[in-house]
Amino acid sequence: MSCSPRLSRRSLLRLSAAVGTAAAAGPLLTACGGSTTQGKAHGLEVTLPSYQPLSNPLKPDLAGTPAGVPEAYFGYPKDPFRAVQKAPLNGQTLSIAEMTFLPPPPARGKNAAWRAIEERLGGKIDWTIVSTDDWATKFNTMVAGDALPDMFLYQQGLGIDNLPAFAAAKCADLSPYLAGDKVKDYPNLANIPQVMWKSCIIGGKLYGLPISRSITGGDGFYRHDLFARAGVSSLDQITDTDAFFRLMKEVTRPRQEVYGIMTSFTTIAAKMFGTPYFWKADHGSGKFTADVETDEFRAAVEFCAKMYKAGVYYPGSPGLTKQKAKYINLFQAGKAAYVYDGMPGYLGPTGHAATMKKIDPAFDVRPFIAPGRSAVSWRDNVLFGTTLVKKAGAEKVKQALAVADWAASPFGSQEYTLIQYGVEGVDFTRDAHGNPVLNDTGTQDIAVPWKFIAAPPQALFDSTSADGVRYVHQALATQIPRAIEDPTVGLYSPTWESRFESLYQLRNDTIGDIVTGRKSMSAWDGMVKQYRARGGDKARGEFESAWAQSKKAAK
Amino acid sequence: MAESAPPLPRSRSRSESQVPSVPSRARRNRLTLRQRLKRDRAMLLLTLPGLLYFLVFHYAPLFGYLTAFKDYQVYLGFKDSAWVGFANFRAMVDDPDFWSAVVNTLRITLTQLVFYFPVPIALALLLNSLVSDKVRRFVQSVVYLPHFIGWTIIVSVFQQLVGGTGVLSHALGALGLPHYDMMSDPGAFPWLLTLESIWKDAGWGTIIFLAALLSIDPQLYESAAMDGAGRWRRMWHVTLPGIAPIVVLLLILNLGSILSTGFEQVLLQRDAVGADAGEVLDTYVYYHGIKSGQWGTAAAVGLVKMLIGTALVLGANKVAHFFGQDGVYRRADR
Amino acid sequence: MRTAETHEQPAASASARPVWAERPSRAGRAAKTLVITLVTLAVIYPIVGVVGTSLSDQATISVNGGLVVFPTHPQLAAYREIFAGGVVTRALLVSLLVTLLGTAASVLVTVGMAYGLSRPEVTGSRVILLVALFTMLFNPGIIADFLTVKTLGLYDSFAALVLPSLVSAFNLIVLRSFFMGLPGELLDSAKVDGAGDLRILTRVVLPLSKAPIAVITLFYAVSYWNAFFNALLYLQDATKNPLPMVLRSFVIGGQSLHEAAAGEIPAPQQAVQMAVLVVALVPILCVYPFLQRYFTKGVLTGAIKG
Repeated sequence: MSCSPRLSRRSLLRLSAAVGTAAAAGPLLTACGGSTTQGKAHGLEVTLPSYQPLSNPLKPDLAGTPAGVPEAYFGYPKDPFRAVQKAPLNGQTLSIAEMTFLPPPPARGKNAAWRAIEERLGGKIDWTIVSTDDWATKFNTMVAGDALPDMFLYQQGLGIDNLPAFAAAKCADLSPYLAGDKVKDYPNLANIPQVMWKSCIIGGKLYGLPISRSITGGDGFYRHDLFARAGVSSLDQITDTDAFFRLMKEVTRPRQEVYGIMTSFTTIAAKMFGTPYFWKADHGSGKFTADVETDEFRAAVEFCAKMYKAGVYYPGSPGLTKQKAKYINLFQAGKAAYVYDGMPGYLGPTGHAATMKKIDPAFDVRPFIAPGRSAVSWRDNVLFGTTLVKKAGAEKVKQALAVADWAASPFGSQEYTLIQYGVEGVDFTRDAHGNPVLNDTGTQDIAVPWKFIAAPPQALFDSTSADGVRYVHQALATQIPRAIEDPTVGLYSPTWESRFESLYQLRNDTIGDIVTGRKSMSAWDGMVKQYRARGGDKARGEFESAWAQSKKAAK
Repeated sequence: MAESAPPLPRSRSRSESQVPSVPSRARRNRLTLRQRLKRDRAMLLLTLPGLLYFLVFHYAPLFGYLTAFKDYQVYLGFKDSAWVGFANFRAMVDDPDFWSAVVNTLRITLTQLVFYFPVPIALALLLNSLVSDKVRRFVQSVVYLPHFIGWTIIVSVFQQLVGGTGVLSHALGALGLPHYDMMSDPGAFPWLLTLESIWKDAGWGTIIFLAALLSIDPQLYESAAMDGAGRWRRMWHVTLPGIAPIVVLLLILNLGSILSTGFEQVLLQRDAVGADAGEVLDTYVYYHGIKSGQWGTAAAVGLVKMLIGTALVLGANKVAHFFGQDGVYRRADR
Repeated sequence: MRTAETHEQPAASASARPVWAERPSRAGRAAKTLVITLVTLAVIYPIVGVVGTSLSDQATISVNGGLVVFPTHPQLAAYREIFAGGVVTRALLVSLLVTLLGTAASVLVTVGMAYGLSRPEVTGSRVILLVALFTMLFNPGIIADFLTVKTLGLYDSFAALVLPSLVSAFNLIVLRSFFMGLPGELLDSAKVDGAGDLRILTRVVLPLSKAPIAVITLFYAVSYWNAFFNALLYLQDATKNPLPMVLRSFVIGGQSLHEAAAGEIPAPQQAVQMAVLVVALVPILCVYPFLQRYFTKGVLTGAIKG
């Protein structure tokens, strides 16, 4: 099957920041027909790489679904398979710049994992590794100084105002190498569903390599034990927002310094009320509605203000929004029943589940699923970002793609093991069940961001908590099928691109003002007016004509 | 490089009468430029490396301000980005949020100027008055430490003191009073920032003033005491005039950054009070300029800040001259 | 030197009350003691908290709300994490070297320039002073700075960690102001003795300016020690990174990532965050007392002995 079997058509997602700019330019709604040329975007002549799932030599403990729910594993394969037979490089050196969330890794000479990977690659990688807070600065100086490396990470919010023009000027068009069946030269890249690839299109051409994620970032986390104490042992019991409000009041016990919500709830409230993800498109008329214009969003903000007033937010929550370490600590210390954080923060040895178990074995933290009949999810985490390839000759581009293919080796492969755990015996040992356990050296060595060159479809794995894996799988199994997308993804609006951050800030500031009671609901209407005047209406017009154009092209 | 420090404190003294007598204008004018250069060659040579540094690393990059008049695209560079004239400035002036940010910035920097600036001076005077060498040394060697603590930690500490579940809130609760969260009180925002700045930098700020206090001639104190001047009169007539030049100098330099607040300090806490009270120019530029690649907006605001800062410094220096102080530089006619 | 001797002053010794000063009143002393105690406590408490937290495990930190004054089960895990792998040790060496050489160069150039500008009658000194002053107000942006440094061929060199911030206009102006405050008679009599400008600098001005020079030395040393921005902009090779650049990566905040992916970033471990601070602070604590000597002794006294 050439079209992604897992994901519905046109299910692309933004690169990041939930914003309109990254993914692109031009209408590229994909038709799913049945030949290998499918995935062609309407009106833009982009042929997406065809999807060729690898035959998985492993048997997952929990199966994935065609809708995109990932496979899950309770244990790590004892005998990893080799995913790439031929070394991608032949003695050459590639330069790559990526961001990292980790402290800097030891240099090549002291890093067994790095050396082992380069040996497999058949060449050297010159890394520029910058921590996430500094990435935008570094990226811009590299662009300005014409010092871009062969491959580099692109995420939205890096200060590139006109991405299509930037890509055309500086980056290699990957279509000639990957379009349609050409991707078969890179089997691990072909194993990435088309929904991910769509987000790699910039200005009507394929420029990016996908760093795949789990489609949705989830709905945050809740304390099952506190919910149960208040009589809610299953989220299904919360049938509507009123029930949730009652529950929050019930779990809030100021005497014991336990509150309902840590820091923020607006995003989840919006999902509970069924708010669209940034825009809603009327398929008949082709009219677009911004999320802030919908009754659902308005109701969600009003609901949060009601909860805030009722005292179910942790005191001082508004002051904590920018202090993640602090509010995560407070949640982990048992101060609240709900916290918003992305799904990747849950599993693993430093995830919320493991950390909270250590603090108090009674703490039972689980992924939240927005309850209620009208609840939706958003496709807000399809990709972590994309890796762009600098404009270069075919030889160099092919090397870059081969390295990306190597980095996209799937879960349970030898390559994946090297990237995630390093060299057995040096960086990790295996526990009694054969699961890899990183040692101190390994923790350092794997900080080289190989996994951000390109990433395979995500698999869920945590050898220490089968329950945790089940909870996440279950949450994603609910959320992914009902996840709605932003209809403007793939459409290009220059106004939205340059005004988005400004509008987003305006919207968030108003939400903060209303929820905390500094302003009344009437401020919402004033904000919507401003939102439209400052670019919202203009962006709408641009999106609508792009939409119409793509419709026409589809015929 | 970053122009976003809260007013930093420092200082030192000199009194008019002590300045070496300046050759009169008439005499100087008798020398040709060549002769003067020859006479001053040692002094000028000493100045040269520093001058070169400023020209190369601070004046050469001034082309960066071109961005303010362009639709600047990083990948196109300064040459190839399109000219837009004053569009960036017009957008800035037309945006009510910009003006709100200006007002907030001034509210914060003026509060800091009035209530932060004197603190290191007072602390330095207090330290200087300590008789015990041991105590003074000890206090001096701890009081500057908070300067090195990052804002994230400082904000977190203040959260524990005056935040929603902080010490203050608990104390009020225990007294039967309503809880108070200073961190999310828009009215208290300038005060909160000032308190934090005092805690972080007042100790560090004493260093310059201490150096200034030490270079006051002790004979002046002695003779004042012999004339019957008491403690306070000595402070008024000897100490304060002794450190006045450095105080004036720092005050003027602080005026130059009147439109800059500590960026990180505000960014971390702005959401707690909302944009109406918490948006300052630096965060405005961040959200409406840099973050979305609107480099022109950022440069336009920067240029305006630079012009206003320059005007204030030059103006304040004139005012200083009027009061018989040198300020940063001396009057041309002296 | 003769000129200095003629101006010998009674030492402004802090260890004993000068004879001319009256006995402080009881109330005055009580008030002073109270204020000093409060100030000291206000500073020491959080500092102790920082050290305590750096020695605690995450559970203790969470339970204590973020700041642990008395670690119940002290452990060095955070420090082990920082120093594992040798990256920090290497960066420490880079930083020490940069701080040492950079401070020396900066102080040298600044002293020369401040002295050169300290006599208003010197040709062009006013213009040059203004040239320096305005740089405090300029900020043409990081990209222009970057391109300048790159054009000079300094990209990815150690020199890029020092040269772009060689002279601080602030330090220059402050030091110049101190120089101008020196007793005029001293300079005049040196001149009468036929001393040239350089000789006056080394024999009269410098010995009399130990306190202000110690102050700007401290300012420079601290700014080099804490500097990460030059490294971020101008270095490509990670092995050249100085300490603050490396330590910074232990305490990232992740402002750039969007909400849904937020779980991708582990919240910074607070023990490590605090340990990072301690690591950066220790060398300053070691060096400070040496410089402090010059702020606690009368300058003129120092001049005579020097």
